[in-house]
Amino acid sequence: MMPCIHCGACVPVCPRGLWPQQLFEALGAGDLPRAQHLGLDACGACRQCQDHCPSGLPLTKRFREGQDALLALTEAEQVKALAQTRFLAREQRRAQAEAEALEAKRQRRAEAKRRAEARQAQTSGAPGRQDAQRAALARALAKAEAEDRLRDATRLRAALTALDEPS
Amino acid sequence: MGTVGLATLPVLAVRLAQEGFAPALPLLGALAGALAVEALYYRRVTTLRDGSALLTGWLLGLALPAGTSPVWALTAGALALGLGKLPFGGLGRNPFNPAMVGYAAALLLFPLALLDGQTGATPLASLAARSGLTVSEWRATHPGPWGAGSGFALSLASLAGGLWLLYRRRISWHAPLGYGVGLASAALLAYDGGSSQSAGPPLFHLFAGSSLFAAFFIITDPVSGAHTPPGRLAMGLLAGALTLSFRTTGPFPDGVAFAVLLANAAGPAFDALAEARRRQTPRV
Repeated sequence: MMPCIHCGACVPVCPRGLWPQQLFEALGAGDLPRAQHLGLDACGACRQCQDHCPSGLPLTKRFREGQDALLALTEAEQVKALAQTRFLAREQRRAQAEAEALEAKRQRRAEAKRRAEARQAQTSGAPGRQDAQRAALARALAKAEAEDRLRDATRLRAALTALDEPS
Repeated sequence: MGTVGLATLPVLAVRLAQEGFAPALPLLGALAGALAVEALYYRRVTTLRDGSALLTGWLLGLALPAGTSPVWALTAGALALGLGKLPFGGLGRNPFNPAMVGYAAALLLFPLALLDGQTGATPLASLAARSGLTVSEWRATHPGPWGAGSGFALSLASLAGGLWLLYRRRISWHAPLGYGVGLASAALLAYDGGSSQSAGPPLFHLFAGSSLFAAFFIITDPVSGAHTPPGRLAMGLLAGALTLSFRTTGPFPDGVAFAVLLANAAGPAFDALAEARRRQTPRV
């Protein structure tokens, strides 16, 4: 096998009208974009160029390898693009969920605040709630005294006084 | 490469017929220089089997004038390989035509050894030195078609060998056609009808000096210069136009070697242009 002397014997015999010697040179330099520009995809591996090469160069083999490399590159790019799409979609979903959770929290807080304010208004405006509490305690105290549960009665009495004291 | 060597045999035959045994000495000298340097560089004799060093020495030897001393011819052959081919990585990698590197180096390093070797004034030299004569006055004293004199037979021999190479498909038509068209159109543009300042008609330039030898055996070197078909056409055009330019304004009567070397230098640029302008999807 001799080096390529660019004699051009492969050029007129190519049925696809390619320039095999230039293609061979591009692939030898690992320049896939240039090889693609020179029509690497169009090579049908008919071996005409290889049969006419006076240097006995493995042209068809190199073109096949180049096409395989191009295919592998295309597949890798497709996988990469798919992964990127998935990742971006997941990121979007996560961001949306986060925003929704934040909004819900904000709403819960507003609700709690509103309730607290309402309770405040209730306790200051109408002391019905404290009265009910006092009545319930009194009922429980009466029941405890009737059943002679002394410890409970003491605790309930203390609670009743504590309820009266701050107001 | 043997085929190309065979195709130059008519040229050698005409030279031997016209000048006797004299052209054989520089031819042998150039061959010896080229082969010796290649073998010494690789320290092997088997490297000579591809015939490339042989062809370089052969073409250079054919281009040298008959009176060149064999020692200078040997030096030129050694320079051809040592400057033009081996430093670039050997076979298939030289950007310049090694034979023309050797010839140009010889012409610049020891011009007298070459110019004194000329047997009589060549038509190109006498046209350049015709001092005040119009082209037709000059033609009257010079024999042969278009005043090309003895060079006309040599040009016919080159033409015959070149056409045979084309027929055998050993060379493509792009570079020779480009060279002829480039030289003829440049000569046509420079020709003013034959005044004393005129550079000579296009047909004279095609058949004078080493035009046709260069068109079929020198610019067609597949390794040096452009590699794509359009690139080779463009390189031929440039070499032809430059040949006329060197002939009319250069310091030497002929300028084929310099024109070819400059065109070789532009070859990769022509290739890049050709590849860039190529349609994306070739015919299927």
